[in-house]
Amino acid sequence: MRSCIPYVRLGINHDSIGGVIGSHSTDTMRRDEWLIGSQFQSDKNKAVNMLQNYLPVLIFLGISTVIGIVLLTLGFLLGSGGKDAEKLSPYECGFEAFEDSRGRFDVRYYLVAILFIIFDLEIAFLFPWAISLDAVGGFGLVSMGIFLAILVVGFIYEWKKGALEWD
Amino acid sequence: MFQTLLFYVFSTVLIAAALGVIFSRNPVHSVMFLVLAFFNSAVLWLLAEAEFLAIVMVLVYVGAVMVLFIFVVMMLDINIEEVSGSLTRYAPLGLIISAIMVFELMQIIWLRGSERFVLEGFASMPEGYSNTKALGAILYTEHVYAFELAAVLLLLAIVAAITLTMRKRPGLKVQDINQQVSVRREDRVRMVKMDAEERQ
Repeated sequence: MRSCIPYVRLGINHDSIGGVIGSHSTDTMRRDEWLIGSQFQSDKNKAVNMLQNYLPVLIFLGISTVIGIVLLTLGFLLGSGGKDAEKLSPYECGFEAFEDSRGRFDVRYYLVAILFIIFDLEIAFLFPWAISLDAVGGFGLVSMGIFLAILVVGFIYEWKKGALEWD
Repeated sequence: MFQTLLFYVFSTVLIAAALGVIFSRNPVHSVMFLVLAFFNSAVLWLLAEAEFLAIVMVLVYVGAVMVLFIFVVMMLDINIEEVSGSLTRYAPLGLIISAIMVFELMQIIWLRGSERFVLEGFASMPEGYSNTKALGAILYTEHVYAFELAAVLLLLAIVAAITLTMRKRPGLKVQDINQQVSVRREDRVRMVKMDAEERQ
């Protein structure tokens, strides 16, 4: 049954934590049941939902939204108003504003940002690899080695080219 | 039930933010709406229990790509007055592209994998299921070719960014710290022998 989908079953029994790559027929059936969500609907209470870990984040989000709305509303309702041109004019630490805030800036900031994104993505690839290292084994180790080696070529290139220097 | 409610709340905010991207006059406000849209889509990933994708969405898109977008918007130095007429100008193209995307999504959902996408709400994974582990276990073995291609793509991005934006400005005064530190007394001080002079 759809043997093309590789599937790893992790952490259900403690002896299978290492993960089983491949498609045991029973495992694939299990997976489909998870996807369809029929069997585990019944013992939903028993299974600790992953999303419960994120409940504090949701509560935090709700409270901060409420505080933001309340503060803005209070300021809007209780403020004495009275806007004039001088009050609404932009100011810069007491100076007259001498430039538009939308001015151009150097393209080098862009270069630094894009180089940051590239290595940010590299790190993002490292996280699932580090977690599933016992499942991917030596092959995964080698494939990550090749991945990092290719990016090290780029790193040496930018170093030698002087893209990391801020002159 | 609660998850379904959350899904609708966050998708509503997502759609509102997406509309804000299109309709706001100020390009910087558009970028901010895009940040909001990315946050909400990250929450949708999280509701589908794709934890890793949600975190990466926030980390990469909100944290890095949006900074680049703001750089580009600021670097282009667009005036708000110039942009205001462009909505009607680009509307036909946008409608065509969105029609193509809707068609593709429909094809994926209804025509191809009809039985795989039949979900009664969100499927809840059993205890201890880690989406990140499951992803990692196939990404580096099963899909190793695509994974290495991603490395080549990133390498290409490094080289392209450097060749496009690096420029050496002539006549630039540069401090060479290594040279400064390794300087010796003999390089700087010269002893001159001379006779004593008369008092004036």
